[in-house]
Amino acid sequence: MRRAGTFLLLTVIVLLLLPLLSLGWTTLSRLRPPQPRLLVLDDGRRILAAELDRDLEDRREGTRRVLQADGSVGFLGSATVSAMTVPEAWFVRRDDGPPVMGRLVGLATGAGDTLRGEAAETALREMPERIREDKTRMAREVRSAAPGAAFGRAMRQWELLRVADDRALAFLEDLDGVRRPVRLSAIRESWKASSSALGPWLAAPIRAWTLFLEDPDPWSGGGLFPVVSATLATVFLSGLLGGIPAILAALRISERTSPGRGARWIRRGSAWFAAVPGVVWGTIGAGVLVGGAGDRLDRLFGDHAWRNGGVLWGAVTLGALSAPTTLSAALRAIDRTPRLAREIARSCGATRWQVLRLVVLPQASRGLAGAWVSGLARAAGETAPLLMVGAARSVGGMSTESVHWFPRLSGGFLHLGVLACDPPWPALEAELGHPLAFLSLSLLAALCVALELVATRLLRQGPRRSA
Amino acid sequence: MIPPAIHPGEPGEAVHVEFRGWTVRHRARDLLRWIDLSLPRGRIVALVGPAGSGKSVLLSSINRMLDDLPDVETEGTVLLGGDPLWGRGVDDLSLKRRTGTVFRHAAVLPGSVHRNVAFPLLLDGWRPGARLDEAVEASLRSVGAWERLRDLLHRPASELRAGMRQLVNLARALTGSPEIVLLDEPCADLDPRETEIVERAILAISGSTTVVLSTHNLAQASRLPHRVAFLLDGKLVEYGPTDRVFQRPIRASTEDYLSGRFG
Amino acid sequence: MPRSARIAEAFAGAILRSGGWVAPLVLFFSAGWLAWQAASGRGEDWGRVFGWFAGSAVLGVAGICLALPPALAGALLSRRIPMATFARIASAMPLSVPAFMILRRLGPMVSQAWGVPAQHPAWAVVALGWGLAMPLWIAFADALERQTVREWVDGALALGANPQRILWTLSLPAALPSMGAALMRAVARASGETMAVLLVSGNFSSSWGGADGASSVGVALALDLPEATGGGGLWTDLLRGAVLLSLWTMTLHGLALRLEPVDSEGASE
Repeated sequence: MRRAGTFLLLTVIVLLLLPLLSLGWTTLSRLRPPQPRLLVLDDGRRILAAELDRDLEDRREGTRRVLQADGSVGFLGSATVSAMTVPEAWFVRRDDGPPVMGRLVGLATGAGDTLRGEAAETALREMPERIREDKTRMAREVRSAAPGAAFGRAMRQWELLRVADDRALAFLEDLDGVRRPVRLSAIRESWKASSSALGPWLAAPIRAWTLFLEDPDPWSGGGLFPVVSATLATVFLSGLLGGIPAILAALRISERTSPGRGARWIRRGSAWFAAVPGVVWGTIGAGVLVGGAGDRLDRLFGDHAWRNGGVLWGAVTLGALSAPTTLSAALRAIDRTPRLAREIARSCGATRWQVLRLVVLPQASRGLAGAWVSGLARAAGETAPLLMVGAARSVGGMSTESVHWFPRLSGGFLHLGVLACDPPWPALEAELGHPLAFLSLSLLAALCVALELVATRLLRQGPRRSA
Repeated sequence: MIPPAIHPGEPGEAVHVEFRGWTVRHRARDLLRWIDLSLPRGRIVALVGPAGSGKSVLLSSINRMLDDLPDVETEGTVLLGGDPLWGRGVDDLSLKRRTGTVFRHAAVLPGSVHRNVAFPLLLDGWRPGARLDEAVEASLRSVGAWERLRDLLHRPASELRAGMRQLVNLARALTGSPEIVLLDEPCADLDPRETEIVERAILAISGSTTVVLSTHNLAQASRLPHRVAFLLDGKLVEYGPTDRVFQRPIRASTEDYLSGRFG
Repeated sequence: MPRSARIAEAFAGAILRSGGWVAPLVLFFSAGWLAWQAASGRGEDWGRVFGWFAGSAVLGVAGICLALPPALAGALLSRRIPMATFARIASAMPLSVPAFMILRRLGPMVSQAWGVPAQHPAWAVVALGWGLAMPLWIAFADALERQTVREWVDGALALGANPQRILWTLSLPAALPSMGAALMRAVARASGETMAVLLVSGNFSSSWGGADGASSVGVALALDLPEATGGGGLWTDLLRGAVLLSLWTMTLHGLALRLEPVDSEGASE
């Protein structure tokens, strides 16, 4: 009977944790660099292709989805006879076309040289980033050059760079001898086929880091850092705009040892307000902030940014949403400080502020920090209200100025939860199995869990006994 | 009001605290009714009576802790050394500095023993240093606790036993040289040995300081104070020298309470 | 007290007094704005308002009905949750995470294997139930732990009772109010998260509902609020739906508070 109970228990646990386990597995799996392999089919055909993660349609139709050397997606209905790693094959992901696979037969540097062999491979790894940096630097110089001779010089340099860029090409040859040129500055990622089965798995976290740091690009995807920074900015700004006032309110209510009627109503109200769903707060944010204050600000400044939402509106909405949670937790933390200690301090002639500073805060500081973090955790887990106050559902739909390293307070903004759930990344990302969508979701989950664990740890400590 | 026959004072005895017609009402309920009482300077006065008789309220009337209770109305006068304690324009914070209070349950402030004892001076803006250390030592010596606590000054006060905590509280109450020390059932949670230690400390400080002690412990009330005041239902029933009140009570209710027939 | 300390104290006191009113004022203003907009607009279609509200409530209750058996079984079978840290991590996830995996990965696999329709609102119930089962389990287990008085257990053991008997006759009856409170909070949460589930389904379109067929308040707000004109009929109806949903969740939380006040972080699911 006991064994049956334990078995049932473990089954229930595994079932309940399945989505979480599946998320971790799928994220790693989708982040594995697709490996170019030689597929020999039973009808005699030989193709160079990378097998992609099997999705719903493939299984039902009994097909295998592969990315072919020219970047097109193929569906193999035949059984594969054998699959072999092609050690010299490269996989190149670029932002001006579909990915390309093949043997690297040569690399033109743009300065007239052609490299082969190891030199070409080294250049393939290093030159794309360098060329992009040069172009960015030159573009900045052109923009900042004073009119006249300096501008003319800068434009000539720019023109030379552009010509060199057009000539900087890598040549990949597939099994049929077809050579495909790839512009170096358009290359986002490139890797050589791995001979070990473990290699791609080990490369998955590194690839996650690369995708994280990459400049965001509406065509080829990539660039999670701006999304992460906007998410973090929204959450922590909500902590400042909502959490701090909530803690001040808790301290204000607790100032008196016997609270008045107003304080009692606020205590009860905070528990009830914490029950209001996030989507209702999003509605209020949409009406009051975006439609109301945003409209008035735009008329005042002659702009269109504020009525499209923004990080600031998102932060205020999340702050209002999480304030009751923070307030309730802060009140509980302060109530845990012994009332007699406050009375002793008052009897010594301490003012209410001195009682707070010298008695309440030293004992309740950990609990107050936990209350603030628990508000952040609540804010981080809410995605739906942000959709209503301007979170962008498409990177492609945003101006390039909004998609950058540090978020601006007005205008459409990015959020991990929104982009994970409705991935706007182009078809290419979908073909590669949505690695960014799963990575976004994993990052969001990690953020929420980290905040929740920190909050739990802080709130479970009792009042400190020593100074 | 109690007839003068049962409210005797010794000739030449200075009055330190005086209640004149003092009444305290909380939400239409009388907590104290028409209290006329004079407490002599430098003596120990005990307040006895059953729970709810108004002992703690009387103490709170001296140190102004009644301010923290909402919806309280007062009538009459309370004078400390001739200065009114209640009324418009009275600075309750500076008045609190003239009193020291020790509460029941041996609760202490967060922090070390040193911080607890020095607390009233820290409120006045004193900074850690030799001067503060000397003041702490003087307070602890005045309650006879220096030798016991000199090696524990920087330990958390909450880690001490109840009796030691009350000594720390008593020392804290004396820091800043208050005129009057109020003790609200200071030995309620202590065992007999700890009670003896605290009582010796109380005796040590009387003489230079007026002590008002609220207690349920009749044995303590019979051996410690110079005067005893018996309160019942917010009224002062009897007040006089300890020996006389315990051996020849005038009021029947006093005799009933002291003999244990109720309370 | 030195003059500088008095000035600092006055300044800090002013910040505390004024800053302490910001949060309550914002909360009450928000509630007032919502109520005023819902009451003063031109909406007249109470049928669709109650339809949306009923959708939210039904989805929430149905989702928790699904979550209840595994949560209860887990809490009763194991007094201390194995892999406790992992379980708490799972319960700290936003609901969109398990819902995403269920609706986009596991659900399609099941649909293909058993021929079940993949795009059906019933999957929302599955996502809600599956996602909230672990937090509910933790809440139940915490309730059993907190409400069991150690002295009762010692006494019962001394009288010869076995752990199962103690669980059913002592612990469970004592913990029922707390478990009921956790259940109500879970229903409130599930009712309020229908929009998040729709969002992760990847089919953010009228196949899940529109102005005429929206299945819940959250869905209706997500789909129709951007197009609604302020003060118009649709706008007012949507806000009335939001008010009804809030009253529903607040009522559930209020009942939960009556059953058991939230005295620790573990008490809320």
